[in-house]
Amino acid sequence: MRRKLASLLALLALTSAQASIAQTQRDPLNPTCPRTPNWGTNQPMTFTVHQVNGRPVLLAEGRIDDNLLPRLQEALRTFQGDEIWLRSGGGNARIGNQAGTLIRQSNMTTRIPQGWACFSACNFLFMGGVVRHIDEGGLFIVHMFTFTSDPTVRRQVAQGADSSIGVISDVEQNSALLASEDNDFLIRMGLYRTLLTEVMYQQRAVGDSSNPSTMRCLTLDEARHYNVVNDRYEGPTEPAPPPPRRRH
Amino acid sequence: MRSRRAAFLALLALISSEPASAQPDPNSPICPPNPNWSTYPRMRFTVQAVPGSYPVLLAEGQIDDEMLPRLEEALRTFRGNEIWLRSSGGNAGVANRAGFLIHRNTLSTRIPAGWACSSACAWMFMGGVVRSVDPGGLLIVQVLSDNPDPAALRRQAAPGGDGMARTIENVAQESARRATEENNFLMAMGISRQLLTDIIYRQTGPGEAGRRCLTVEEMHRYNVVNDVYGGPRQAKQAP
Repeated sequence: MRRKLASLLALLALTSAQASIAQTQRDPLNPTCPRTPNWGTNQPMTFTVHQVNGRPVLLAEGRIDDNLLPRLQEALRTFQGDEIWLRSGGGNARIGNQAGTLIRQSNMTTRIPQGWACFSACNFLFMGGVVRHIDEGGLFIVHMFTFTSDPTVRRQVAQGADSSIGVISDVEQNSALLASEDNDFLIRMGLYRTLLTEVMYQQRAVGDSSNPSTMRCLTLDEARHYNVVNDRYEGPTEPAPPPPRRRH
Repeated sequence: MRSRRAAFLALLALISSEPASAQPDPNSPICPPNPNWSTYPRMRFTVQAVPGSYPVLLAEGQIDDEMLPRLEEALRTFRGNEIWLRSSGGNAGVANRAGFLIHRNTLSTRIPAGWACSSACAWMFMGGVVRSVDPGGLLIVQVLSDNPDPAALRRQAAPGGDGMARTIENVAQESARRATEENNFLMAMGISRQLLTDIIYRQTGPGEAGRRCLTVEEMHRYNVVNDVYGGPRQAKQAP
């Protein structure tokens, strides 16, 4: 029994070390980011309460799916703590925006712990926090929202130029509406909107040979500059203990 | 004095070189045919003396790429405090900068009865510190687009759709940046940004199909006009 436990712990240590190495190796296509950010699974986001140093923390992990809001509402309704830890590769942008608003209405603190990554629509959940922390080694990764991942748009693009031209004005219109929602959200959450114009909307949604980068990992200095993190207590913030290990 | 001024304005109306638009319905978002927005290919600035009052600056014609230096020069020598606008639009970026310039000069903007200010011109108008649209004046909004024309899009479309996908993403990116600038502009001018999401970005189609005449109620609701002092005023007649 003891040998089985020792083997299990050794295995966990190995996978953790591998994840740590993967998170520190640079991605040649996105040089500001590691090769494999740890944004968790592509399964719909789950909410799990964990005790960390004797206080409850809500772990939000997975894809921001179309039906996330009722699950988040239910999780917040029963949650007795005040802090949410986030790990997600993004998903539905509008749902992310609404979930961020819900988190704000619940007066929650948001955190990206060491070793975790929050990408794309997850950014908006994070920005919903009244107090926002990114621990050393946590990643806040932004990009330009995309339309060509939409199945309808992809189908029309595949049908050729004439069909694609019809979709252009729809894309232009939707992009303007989504950008206005982004602007509105950042104002309400107390962030600088220059995060949009100087960083997010400068990224390419589709890379090419001259500039393959489509993701941008903010440094902690940048995150403070745009008020993405606002945990400005005296002295350095004590990093959160590492999050519990979970299977992907 | 008042009758002299009225007679003067009536005379100006008579000698106006272009026909006034049909009296629009102030409660209808549908624009009347042939709005009177001037056919000058480059915006002209003319100081118009008004007996018994300050002169007004008439800004008429297309907002062309080289308009800003002419506006700066016109403002440098202008001794009045109000600009009257008549234009079908033009370069959106130039109009945005012109709006800021008008605002920095603390000028009022006005669309007099019978005149129309459309598309990019609306952004110049919104630069006014005090903004008025007289009964019978038209403020027409539209999505400002930098879309390449269909022929150019076909040229960009590589076999397999990669070129077109990139073009679509570029359009989305440009649109997002422009929307952010437009959000900025409206905040700077004290206009509700809901004008964008409720109305302007809901318009579809190029040209006439995408034009939307703001109703009087909408202009007040979004603070597009803000001359709400002392009850109704007497309308000014366009020259």
